[in-house]
Amino acid sequence: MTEEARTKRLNNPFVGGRFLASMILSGLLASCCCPEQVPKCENVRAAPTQPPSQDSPPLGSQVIVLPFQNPLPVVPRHQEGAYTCWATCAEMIMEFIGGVRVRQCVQTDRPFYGSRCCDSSLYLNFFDNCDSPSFPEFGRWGYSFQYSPSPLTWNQITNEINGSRPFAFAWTRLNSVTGASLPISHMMTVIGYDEGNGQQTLVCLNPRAFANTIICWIPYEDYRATAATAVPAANSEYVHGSDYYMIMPSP
Amino acid sequence: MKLRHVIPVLLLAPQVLWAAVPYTNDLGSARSAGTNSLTTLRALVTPANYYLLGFQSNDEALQATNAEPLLIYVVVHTNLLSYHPGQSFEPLLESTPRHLIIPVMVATNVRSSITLRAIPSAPGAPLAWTNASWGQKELIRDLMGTYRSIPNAEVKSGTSPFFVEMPVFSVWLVGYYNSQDKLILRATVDMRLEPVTVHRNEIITEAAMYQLAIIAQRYNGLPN
Repeated sequence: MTEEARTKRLNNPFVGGRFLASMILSGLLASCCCPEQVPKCENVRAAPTQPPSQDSPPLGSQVIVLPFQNPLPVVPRHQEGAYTCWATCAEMIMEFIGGVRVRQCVQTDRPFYGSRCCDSSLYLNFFDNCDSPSFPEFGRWGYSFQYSPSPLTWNQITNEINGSRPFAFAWTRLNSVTGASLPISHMMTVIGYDEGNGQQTLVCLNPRAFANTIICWIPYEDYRATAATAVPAANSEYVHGSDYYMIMPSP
Repeated sequence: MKLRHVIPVLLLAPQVLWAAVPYTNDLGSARSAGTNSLTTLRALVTPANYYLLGFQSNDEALQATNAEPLLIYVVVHTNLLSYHPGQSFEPLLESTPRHLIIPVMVATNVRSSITLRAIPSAPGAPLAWTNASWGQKELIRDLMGTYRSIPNAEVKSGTSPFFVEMPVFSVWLVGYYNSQDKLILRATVDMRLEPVTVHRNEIITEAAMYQLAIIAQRYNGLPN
């Protein structure tokens, strides 16, 4: 980390304390369930009685401690730009793991741009350089991570979720008839796994522009499809791109 | 493209059309695949996740039924890049839809969804379908909300609305033919497309589509 980046990080009120309490603060959560973009909710890490959602009902003032959940109670966040799915994924993951939101506009900002990517409410400004496709920069915000260009094994995935570590992956969409790359890459956050009815699935938070993040279950086979197994050979219209996993606060 | 001749609700099986477009026999295979997929969806439901899948209780999933499948047309990225005001929206859409979304209902309420994708089948055989995703309660509610907001009188007789996906933004629209046989697209969420803003359920204007094209031109191939 450069000195400039370190200084910027230390001065950033949204990236100060990592790992806020792992204690469960459902009473606080109950009063807001973190309605989107409300600053006073930003530092609350919580495990509700049911997984949170953007439209979850109030939860009451219970205190419930769970060792881990599947799916993990990661708060879905709204993708603020047309192209900030990667920052949305990173925001959701870092909020869950570290207890602090790193807003999308903060992630897309660059020192030489000044602070132009954030408006007064910490929403993303729609300048071209602020609203662009990219990759998460967990290291920039004080997190260690591992990068894999290959899909994770089922065992690795269950280890991540059982270890309370959501992770991000990108895949590239193909033309469903020809198999040619469109080429459009998209990033999602994996928060759980399931094997109901013998179907191995990943539970994902799927950001989309201008709208609430979607919670979906996708077949593991689709997630791990490679160029050799995807259409037209038959079984997927996506090709795996990369994974950011083992995300933890840096020591 | 003969999109105008397509009746997207598979039940209506028109006499037209493109190879590989799912009709008649394909309807049966889509319904059958949807039934199997609903069985899987029910098996995925647990006390820890029913809410995420869109149900109001763990038991509610047992009452869930599939509505009729609805076609999804995908906006072809390269076609979007070259869009200019004055052009029809028809050429933007893929000629052969390969995806269906099936609303999952509890009584008359949309709770969840199943998405199926066509996969290759033997020549002459009905299309085969495979699971693409489950859940997506937020999406199916947006889609059906806009679908239901369209006045019946505005939709060309004998046709029904369908869904349109713009993969580059993961933006979803609802499309239909109006009584003048013009393809109309409506937004399912509010979209700020500086300097144009389109609100949920509003018709996508040529100016708005042009803004989407301009934004799409900035796509650099990295994850979005």
